[in-house]
Amino acid sequence: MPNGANNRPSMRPRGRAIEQQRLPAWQPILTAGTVLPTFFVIGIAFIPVGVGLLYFSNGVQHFELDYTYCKTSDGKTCADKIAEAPGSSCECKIQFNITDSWKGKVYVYYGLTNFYQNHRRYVKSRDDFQLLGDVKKTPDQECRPFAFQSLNATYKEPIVPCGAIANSMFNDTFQITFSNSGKEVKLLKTGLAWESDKRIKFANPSGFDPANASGVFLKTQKPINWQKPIYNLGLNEPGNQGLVNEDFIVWMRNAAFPNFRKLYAIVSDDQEFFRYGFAAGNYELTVSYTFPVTKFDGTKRLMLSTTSLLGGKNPFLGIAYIVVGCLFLVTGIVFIFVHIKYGKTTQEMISVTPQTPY
Amino acid sequence: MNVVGRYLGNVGDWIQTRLLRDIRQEEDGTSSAPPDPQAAHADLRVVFVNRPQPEKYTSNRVSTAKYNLISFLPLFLFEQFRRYSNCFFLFIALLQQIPDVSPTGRYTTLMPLLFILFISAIKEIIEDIRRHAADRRVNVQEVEVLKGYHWQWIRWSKLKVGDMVRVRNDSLFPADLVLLSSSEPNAMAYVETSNLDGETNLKVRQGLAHTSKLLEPKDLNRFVCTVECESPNRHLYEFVGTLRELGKPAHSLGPQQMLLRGAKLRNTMWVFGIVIYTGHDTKLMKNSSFPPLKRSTVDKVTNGQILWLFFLLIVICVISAVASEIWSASYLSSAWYLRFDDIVISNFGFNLLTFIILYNNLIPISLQVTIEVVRLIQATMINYDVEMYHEESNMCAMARTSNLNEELGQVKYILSDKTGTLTKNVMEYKKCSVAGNVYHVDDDALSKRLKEGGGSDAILLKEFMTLLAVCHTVIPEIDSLGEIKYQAASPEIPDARYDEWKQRMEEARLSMHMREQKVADAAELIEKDLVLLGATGIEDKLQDQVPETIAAFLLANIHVWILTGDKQETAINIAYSCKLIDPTMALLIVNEDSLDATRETLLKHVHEFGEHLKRENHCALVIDGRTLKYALSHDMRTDFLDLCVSCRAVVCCRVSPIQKAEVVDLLVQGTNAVTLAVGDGANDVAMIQRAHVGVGVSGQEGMQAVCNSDYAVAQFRFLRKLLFVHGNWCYHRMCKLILYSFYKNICLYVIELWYAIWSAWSGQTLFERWCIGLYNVLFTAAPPLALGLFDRVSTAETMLKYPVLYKMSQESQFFNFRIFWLWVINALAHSIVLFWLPAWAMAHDVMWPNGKEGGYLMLGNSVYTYVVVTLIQYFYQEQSGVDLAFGQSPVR
Repeated sequence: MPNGANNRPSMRPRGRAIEQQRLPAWQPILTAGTVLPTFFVIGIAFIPVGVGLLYFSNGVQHFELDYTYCKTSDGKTCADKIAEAPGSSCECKIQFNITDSWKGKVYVYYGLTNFYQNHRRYVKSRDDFQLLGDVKKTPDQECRPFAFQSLNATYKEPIVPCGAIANSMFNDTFQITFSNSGKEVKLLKTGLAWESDKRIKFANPSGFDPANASGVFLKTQKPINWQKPIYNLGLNEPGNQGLVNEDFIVWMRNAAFPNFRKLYAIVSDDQEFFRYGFAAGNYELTVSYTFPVTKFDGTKRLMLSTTSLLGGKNPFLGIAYIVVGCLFLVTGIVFIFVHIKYGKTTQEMISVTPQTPY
Repeated sequence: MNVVGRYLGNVGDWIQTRLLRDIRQEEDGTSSAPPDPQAAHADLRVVFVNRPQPEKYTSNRVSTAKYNLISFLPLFLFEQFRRYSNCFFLFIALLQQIPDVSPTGRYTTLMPLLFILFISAIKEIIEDIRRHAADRRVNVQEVEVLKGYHWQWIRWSKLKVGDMVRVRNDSLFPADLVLLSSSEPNAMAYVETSNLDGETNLKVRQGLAHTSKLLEPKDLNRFVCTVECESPNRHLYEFVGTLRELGKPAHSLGPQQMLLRGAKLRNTMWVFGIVIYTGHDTKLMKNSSFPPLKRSTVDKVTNGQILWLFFLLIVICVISAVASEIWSASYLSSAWYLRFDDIVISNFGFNLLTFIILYNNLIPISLQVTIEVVRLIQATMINYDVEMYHEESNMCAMARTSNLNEELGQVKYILSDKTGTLTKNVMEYKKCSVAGNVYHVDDDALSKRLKEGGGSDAILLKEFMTLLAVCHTVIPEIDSLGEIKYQAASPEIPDARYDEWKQRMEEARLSMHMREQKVADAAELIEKDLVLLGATGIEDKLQDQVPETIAAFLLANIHVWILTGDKQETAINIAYSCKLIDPTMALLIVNEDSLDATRETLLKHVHEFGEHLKRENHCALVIDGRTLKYALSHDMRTDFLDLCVSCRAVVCCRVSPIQKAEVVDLLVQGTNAVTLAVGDGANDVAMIQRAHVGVGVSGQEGMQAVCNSDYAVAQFRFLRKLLFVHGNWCYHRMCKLILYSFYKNICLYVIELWYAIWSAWSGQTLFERWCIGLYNVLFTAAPPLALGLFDRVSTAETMLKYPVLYKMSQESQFFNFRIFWLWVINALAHSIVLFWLPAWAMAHDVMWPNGKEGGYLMLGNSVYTYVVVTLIQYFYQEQSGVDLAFGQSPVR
């Protein structure tokens, strides 16, 4: 024994449970007795959930109209016309029919396909400080090449709103006429954007005066592709003018996929035939067609839709639940057979000896 | 009474010293003649006393610190960037600085990397400040040096080779000194060497008779001589030198005259000495080398997989960049809204870099930090284990490194020392035999016979007892309470042959066998006319539970090899008594004295095994050191190794420390198996350092083995819990931690690949920037830590009860190439489900009754949330030790 061992203070560990790794622990031991019921419970629970989801989805009324190649009165497509004269606008009309009358609030969307709002360079091509009203600042370099407009060889002014997203803002306009009454369907252009976006991410420059909207945007230029400057968006609509224009805000929220839809308007319920929803009958859509998509094989659609508790019409989730539920049931049944044929009892499972093969 | 045995045990101390010198000279191939000044050896140091030194020697200032102010930054960065992962992340961080390349911002990699480096730097600085402070405390100590005719106090750091110093009682020696004279008669001095070797007994040193009269400064001042000695080395117990005075015969100097730095003067008013070795040349400093850096098998596999994963990453990036190229070529020219008039958008090289940044987190940046934190805590748990605390020696287990915790779960070969490791190394006097009569320790026949007197046997007995009482190294020391303490040297093991010799003592056949040995001529001269008075019988018992522990190891498929300096019979006996071999086993004893004979015998045995070669057979191999020398020669190594692994047990006897290490090397190089070397003495150090895991038994032989070990335990039996419980747990935990860390990162970041399909291969991230940044450090930080710290594959009791459970970790069943890639595939599968289900479910954009659409972050945040939820769920599934994904059933 080393000398002095007795003189040293005892090194004996205190032996608390946490140090001895003896804290109570729980481990699920997956046996046939616990796993099989789980499979059936999940299977049985998922199928009704799926049915419920399908029910919600099917309850949604939905109408889509592809107007990409709509024709003008002279038989030419608007797509061709605006391709010939970029920046011009073209008017075309399409008749459509809604067979059943819809109940509930009706939303009007425009849908684009093959349009990559999620391209990396596109997504970051914006200046959030400018969008908050700081229009005097030098636009963020991410906005390039949509940051400045050269007015002559030496002088350029910042573009407001700068960047590729703003520059490519969807600018077709729709007019829907209810043929049965011959009246234009009244569409609301507010309540389209998220409150948070409107409050936190977008704001007009301080001193913005709706009566003299251009004042605070002095020495700025409109985006190259735009036909009117930002302060003329939502003209005469209180709270919807300039940088807080809801069409603009909706566009600025990048879509996740190249095929997407965006809220265009809400059908006003403050009009005859549309008080409780959407009336069945014939309609005429008049499109002011300015947004080119055919060059890159894109399409443009008008969508009318009600919503359910879970938003728009999409049966996928319901079907997925039902399929997964069924898979669980089938697997459960297969496992039961496997268990009956090859299974071991829990007792057998836990009595492991050195001879047990593993 | 048992002290008597020890007395005798130490009679031969000086013989041993001589022996050692001979052996070393034999090994070195040098002659035993004292060093010849004319033959200017390169490894010879000549110190001129009272004359200027022609050579410049190392300063006596010591520095054990790793860094100084200037060297810190380069050295630290060098250390850090030797790790692949840090280099990789630095590369990523640099890439992100290129404008328009990074999809995730400029600082998302730099910040975490700097944070990790910062934490590491703080740890290093704190450790180094402590070392600096300790160094300073040492260097500013003062000692008296002879200047002319006066003693003058100077700092240790100013001390030079050739200085004469006076060291007073209870002070430390400032350098390695040659003892000239002391306050005691005959230049005797007592030293305590516990700092050096952990032995707390006092040792006697004695100056040469020739110098013992140098008691006054004027004598010393006039004493002009040279000291020839070996160049600095780390052998604590060896020293060969010659003191030459002009015109006088030379005197040889040995360890008896050495006062080593680190030792302390005791029971002696003062000593005079000549400084021989200073600073980092001293034997103390030579011994404090940094142990070799060991890495665990899991670590190596991980590093290998990281390289593979990096390869996978590059493949994914190339695929993405090519796809981006194709997409751009077919789409971009017509996409007016994407007309960015620079070339970056369609440059293949830039796109590749973008994707490398986008996917770089496939390799988890936080893994290294998590692993280090977990290992540190695991090591603490080992230290805290109350079941590995040894009451008698007041020692707990000690994890000296934490890098190898999981390696403890994979041990396949245990190479064990015998004395002090398997046995207690407490030599207990049992009986003695004098003049044909045997006297047991328990009866009083001896004292009776002594009292009675008369007869030749009584005279012999008296002579015998006198000898025992005189020839020893026990030093009585009067302590503060006035009680006499006997300070006996416990047996030292600096060389294997000493084992042999000690065993002879135990067998009480010293004087008969000594002649067979190559003893120094002088010793032989003395021993020629010895008369055998009698012999003592000494017993060294097995430690507690050694047979049970070894039996458990064998059940766990761990091979136990005994490597001892002891003689063959003893080794075999011990192997029997600790149940390593049993009487039904065939013993293959290989004792040959030539290369050819060894080869012949080995080949014969190899042929006898036939197809059973390299499988475990019910037999044991016994080989002695001499034969081992031949068997380890180049052309026989493979055959010898094959033979060894074909046997259930291997016993190597009469092996030197270097041979022990060579056997470890043989195993390490020849097999993929993890080796664990366990020993308690200085002769086990080489083996402990060479094995994958070195365990020191903090026994009777000082701290040398412990100081060089990775783990220290007080008793051999604690290895059982260390391996079966801590090793197994740590292995499972570390495997799960690593696999899970890779899994979670792959699962999240491969989703970026799926999203690239829909985002024009532009490198757009699906997730919000902060979600990405906080993924490893916040949202999924806890599960890997919990797995690494708390996961219990089964209870300690179960694992101790069923040693066969050890095979799971031993055979790398939970972490190997296959498992790793199964997890990767699993992560890929999960990522597919986790991306496509939400993508389809949200394809219609409008998720709320208010008719508004969510945008890409709605999808991104949803997917992110589902990933985190799935990971947590997967954690709950994994922590059970049940791996549904791969069909491995739980064993408990």
